[in-house]
Amino acid sequence: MSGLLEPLIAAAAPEQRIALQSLKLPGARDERWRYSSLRALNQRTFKHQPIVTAQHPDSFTSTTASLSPRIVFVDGHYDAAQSDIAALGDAITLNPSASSADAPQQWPFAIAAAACSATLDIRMAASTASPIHLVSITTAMAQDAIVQQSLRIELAANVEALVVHHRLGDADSNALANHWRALVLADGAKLHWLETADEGERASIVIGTRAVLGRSSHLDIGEVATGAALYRHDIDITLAGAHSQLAIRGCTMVAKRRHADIHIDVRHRARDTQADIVWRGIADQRGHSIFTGQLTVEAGADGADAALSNKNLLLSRQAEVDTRPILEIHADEVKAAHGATVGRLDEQALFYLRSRGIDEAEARRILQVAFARAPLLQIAPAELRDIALAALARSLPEDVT
Amino acid sequence: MSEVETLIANRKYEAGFSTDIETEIVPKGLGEDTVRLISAKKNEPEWLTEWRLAAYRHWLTMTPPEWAKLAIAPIDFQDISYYAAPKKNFKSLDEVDPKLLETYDKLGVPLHERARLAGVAVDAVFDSVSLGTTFKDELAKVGVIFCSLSEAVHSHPKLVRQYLGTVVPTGDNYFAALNSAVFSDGSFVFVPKGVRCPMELSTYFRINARDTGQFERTLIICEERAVVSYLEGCTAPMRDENQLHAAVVELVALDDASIKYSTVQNWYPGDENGVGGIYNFVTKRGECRGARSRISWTQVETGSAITWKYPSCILKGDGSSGEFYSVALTHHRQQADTGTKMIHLGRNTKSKIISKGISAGRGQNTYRGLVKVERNAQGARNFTKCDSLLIGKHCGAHTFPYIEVKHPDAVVEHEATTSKISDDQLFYCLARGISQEDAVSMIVDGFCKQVFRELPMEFAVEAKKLLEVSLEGAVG
Repeated sequence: MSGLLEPLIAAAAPEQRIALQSLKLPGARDERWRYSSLRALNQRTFKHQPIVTAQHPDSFTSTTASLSPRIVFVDGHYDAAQSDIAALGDAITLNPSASSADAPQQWPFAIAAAACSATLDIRMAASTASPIHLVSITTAMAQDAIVQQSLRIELAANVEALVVHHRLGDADSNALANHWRALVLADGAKLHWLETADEGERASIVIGTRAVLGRSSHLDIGEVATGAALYRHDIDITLAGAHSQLAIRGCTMVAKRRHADIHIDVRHRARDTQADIVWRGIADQRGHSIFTGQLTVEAGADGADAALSNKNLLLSRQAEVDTRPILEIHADEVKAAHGATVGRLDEQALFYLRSRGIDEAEARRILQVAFARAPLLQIAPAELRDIALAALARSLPEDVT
Repeated sequence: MSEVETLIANRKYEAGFSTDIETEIVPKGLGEDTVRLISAKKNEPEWLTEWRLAAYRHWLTMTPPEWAKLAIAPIDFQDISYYAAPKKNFKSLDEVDPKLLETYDKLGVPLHERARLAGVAVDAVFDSVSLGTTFKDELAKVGVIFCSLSEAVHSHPKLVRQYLGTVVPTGDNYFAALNSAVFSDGSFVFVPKGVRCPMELSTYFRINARDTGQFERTLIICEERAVVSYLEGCTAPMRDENQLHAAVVELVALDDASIKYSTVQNWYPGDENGVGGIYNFVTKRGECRGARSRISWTQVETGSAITWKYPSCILKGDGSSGEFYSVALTHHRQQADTGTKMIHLGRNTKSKIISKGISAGRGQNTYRGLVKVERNAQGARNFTKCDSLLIGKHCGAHTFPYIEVKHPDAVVEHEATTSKISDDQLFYCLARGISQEDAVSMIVDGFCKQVFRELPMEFAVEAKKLLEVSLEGAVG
């Protein structure tokens, strides 16, 4: 058994642990994990005991308090005391120890998270106007530990909701955070999801997001990914209902030694479904940006419209960009296209800015922001768009060269 | 679409006949003895026997690749005969059994007087041996060596030893290792410094014997400033069994050299229910070793039940360039997983990829490509375009491009689209009095134009014809 697997499943109930023994973490030959090696994690020694987070002050209290309504997780566990959903009334119900959401077979991390952490079940029965903040905090207590979080969110028919997930981590934390969430959208539901993070470069994060979309439902996912020692986000979407729609708008900004691996899988299963993905990446210094976007149109999913664009800037000799836009088409009444580019900053634009008296560092910064914000500007709800743009502004390293 | 679909009836695979000739076939099975036997039959020097055995031992430790999007029934490597050759001994083409020459005549491959008119030098490979090579003397006058690889092992041992396996090492992949162990005949081309090969060179591969596999190996070397254009064609009889074809092609281009390699692959594709057909596992790789060298691959893949093939370019020399133009067609139950790799190592290296996939019936067509820009490849450029055309409800078209960039100066672009022949396009043609079948041909031809343009003229005509034949019954 690998050095990582044992502590990863240590917190599972004894009867589950036996089933988990057969769990396999992705190895070096796994195509899905081609650009993200787990070797460093496997060689580390993680605590085997699950961390019991006592009531303790953490450095994020003030940030957390400014967000409302909010649902707070500390080191993977739902924290009712810090949460505040009073404003939502009956629109939402929380069930903190629901049975685990069934994780996909090919996602060992999600299976471990579901087995090791009580799943928080969130049901939304009515639309809410303002964003609901999910705040996941990894505290200094979690040093050398694995924190795991399991979440299930279900939107009833025709409910519309805005959700922002903030991941906050101690700047020096070397914890491995393992997040798993299942999103279920009933017919006509609309979910706008934004993923942002403020984490140190020693942290490791693995996220599995899976969504199943009902008839005429609509899912928007926005993300500003800034990477970590290892950052992997699997996004798996099934367009199961006719006329369901997906839009993903994101950007990756990695510098220093940060790594970010975005892996998107979209399956068109019903008729007249639509998926539109725009993702941009910038890799500077020793950063490593990875993007995989697979669009699959299953047999019978006629009328599917699938589009993906992934553009990247590679700014340093030590940085790396890897991208895989994949199409798998099994139906013929289909519109499908994808494009990917890797290039550098536009020298002409740089010259133009310099000739207007802007110094080189600032000019580069301006061009990078302009490049990365393009997809974020297409996030529809203004509240989420503003949060995404603010996160992007924070993510730019000051010493851009 | 249903109208388009019903247009396709089943025209016969024209190269599907077999030649009844006394053939020596070694018993089925694979082991060190088999490897030694093949080596002995070719009277090979000891170093080559050892080279084969090392490859065989390495092969034993390997597992078949499973990453391709292909459904392949397990292959029993012990149930194949690894060497088959016409029994009669012959020293030159003039002594070859007329029946064999007839075979090539029927296939439209000029070996004799017509060859002169065609102006193409041909190496004819029948099962495991080369029958002969035309225009050898004329080519020798300018210093070009064109013969079978087995012959080159004896006549030019130094060159063979210097270059064999340097582009595709024996342990490169499962099928390359198998080929290295049991390879039979293939072509050897050497174009010396500054020579522009005066005519097009070509090899025609024919599988004839039952229960055998073909494992040819081709090696082409172009020295400084040399230029060559090489064509390759292949066919096999219609059989209910699946025959294995695992080839290796290595190209080496030194400073300012240029190699153009064109393939029209028309192995037996199996019938409409997927019975029979050739399993085609090919490792093709060219190395642009010298500065400003150029390698261009053009392929038209219409045959084979299974195609697993990724002609690649290693762009080592500064300013070198690689090109890949491909049309792959799958019909009935054919499966193709094909594409290319462009590895940019040198400065200012350039590559271009144009891939056109056509799927009809229950065919599955996959483009799989890798564009890699390494740390020192300053100024590297790549452009990739992959288009897929779907004809019918039950076929599939897939695109798996990998892009890996490590130099900030590189510019890499990839785009892909998937579409079907639209009813509007068809209606427009029909309204102008063009029959449905011709309309589909025209549309498909237009779709493939960018690739056909790269083919030598005779090949372009043949490719166009092949596509029409292959598609017949797919539409309408």
